[in-house]
Amino acid sequence: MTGGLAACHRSGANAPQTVTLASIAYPDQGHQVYNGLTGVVVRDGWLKGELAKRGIALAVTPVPTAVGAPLINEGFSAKRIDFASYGDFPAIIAVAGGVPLKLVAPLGQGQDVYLVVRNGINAHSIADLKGKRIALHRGRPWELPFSKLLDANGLKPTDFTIVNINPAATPAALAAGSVDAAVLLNDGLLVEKKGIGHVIWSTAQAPADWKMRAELFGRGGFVSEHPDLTQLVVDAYIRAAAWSAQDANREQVIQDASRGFLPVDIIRKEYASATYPWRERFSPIFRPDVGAHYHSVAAYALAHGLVHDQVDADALLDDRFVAKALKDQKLEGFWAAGSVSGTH
Amino acid sequence: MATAPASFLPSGSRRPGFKLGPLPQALVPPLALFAVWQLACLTGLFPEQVLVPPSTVARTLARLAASGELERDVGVSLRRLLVGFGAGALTGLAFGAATALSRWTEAALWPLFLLLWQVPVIAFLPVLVLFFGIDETFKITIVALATFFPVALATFDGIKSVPRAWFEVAQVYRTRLPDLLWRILVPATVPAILTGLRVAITRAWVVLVAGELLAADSGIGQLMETGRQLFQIDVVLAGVITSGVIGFLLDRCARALEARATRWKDA
Repeated sequence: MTGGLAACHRSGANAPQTVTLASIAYPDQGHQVYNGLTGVVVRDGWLKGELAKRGIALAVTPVPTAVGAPLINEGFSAKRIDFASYGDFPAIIAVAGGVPLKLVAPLGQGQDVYLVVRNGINAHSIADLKGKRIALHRGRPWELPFSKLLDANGLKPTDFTIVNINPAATPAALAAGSVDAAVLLNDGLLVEKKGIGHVIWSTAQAPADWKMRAELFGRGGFVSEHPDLTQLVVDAYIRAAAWSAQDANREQVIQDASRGFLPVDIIRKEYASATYPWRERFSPIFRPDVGAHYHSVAAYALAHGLVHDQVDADALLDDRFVAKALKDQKLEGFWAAGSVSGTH
Repeated sequence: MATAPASFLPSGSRRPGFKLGPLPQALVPPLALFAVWQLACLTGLFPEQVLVPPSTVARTLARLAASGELERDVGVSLRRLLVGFGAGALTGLAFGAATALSRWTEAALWPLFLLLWQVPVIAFLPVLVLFFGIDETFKITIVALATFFPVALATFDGIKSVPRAWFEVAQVYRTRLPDLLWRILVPATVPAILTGLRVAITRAWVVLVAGELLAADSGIGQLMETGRQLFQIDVVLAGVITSGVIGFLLDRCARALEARATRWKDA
């Protein structure tokens, strides 16, 4: 990748030789399966073809969920990656750390975060977990909903022993009793299905803006230097979103989301509980609630000392590319312009 | 040792390099490194988030020290080191002595010991997590393991290197076992064992920090890991410097003890 970067400088021309896209990925039967729309973009091959026509290679960097966002932030900061589909909180951490990013395409309605308690612990709410050990991978998007949950209950992180371990190691830690509870994404449902523990709270019970969001972020420098290539990347994600939004592809999307380790019925159950239409799950629209979410994340992270500098959420959002992609692909009006997340 | 010949030198013939004591001399390379580091930051060739200037790291260190965070994490790590090192050193001494003094235990246990000794302690981490979870037991166990091997090996070698003739002479003089141990075996093996303990303590420190990076709720390794996750490279580097300085001081103290305890050899 650094070779690609060097080549980009050597070429002297505007165009780089490689566009690098990073995404959370899972190994499945010897292949890397990319999360969400990135998986569709990679399989579709359209972006690769369009870039190839311009003599540019597409490099897709798989990032294991165990290391996740910190690795992406380090890649952005060292200019080794140009785009990444990843979470809200790590992106705010990067911007606060002085790595300019642009949110070039929102990806959907956000994901639920679950608080799971291991068997043998008699707890029905977060307050019952006082003094207990909770697994939480620091700096990941699910830290914020957890932090909000503590706030809402008048609790502090110091009321618990927070154990910083990655989500891949968490089920084993719960099963072994090394931790009493854990904050997880939908792998929390898997913990429940395996009989290791049960969910006592999720963001589905909280205001809609508590959900974590993941989006397509571009490196600030790349986006301003190469708006044409950024447009191509966003076009590819909008194509993928439109494809996934088709009812005919619903089953394939659910199969993809299982990523080879989450049982399909868990995904189906989670998706079925949504309060919005299927197509909105993939909405790339810069709705007012998306902007509000980033304002809230930035303010919250600063107020809680998780970042040391104020992040300008307005400067983070860059809606030019989605607007053009929707127009070019004749998708204007396909997704709702306002909030769709129920009555919260 | 080195001071005696110096006094025979005529005054004025002392080489200028000796004006600085050994400590200031040792400070030159790190200071030069800090200066180059700061200069590299000032050139702006590297993004500030990647190459944090040492001045920022120093401020972060001061902030962590003032808030008590550094003291807490260093304290937790040192406590783990102390307990783990104590357990590892005692078992290492016992195992090394037992295998060196008995042909049967040597034949039975030594090959397995040598085999396990070849495996880096870090490679045991996942298995240890399964057995001991991620609690204190886990961290103390990795420190104990990292200590056990060098100490056992040094004890074994120390005892084996005592000339057979000494035992034979002791037998001729009908030396009692406590005297054999205290007057012959201990003085003969102490230098080797102390070297083993010194190697062990620095090794144990490195392994502990690595273990804390992997799974912990506190400690200097965890301070660094959380810093990385929250993209606070200054905190990561503050941790690197702190753990480096602690490792250095541990080695220095161990060397000083070793020199003190083996002074009789030079006499």
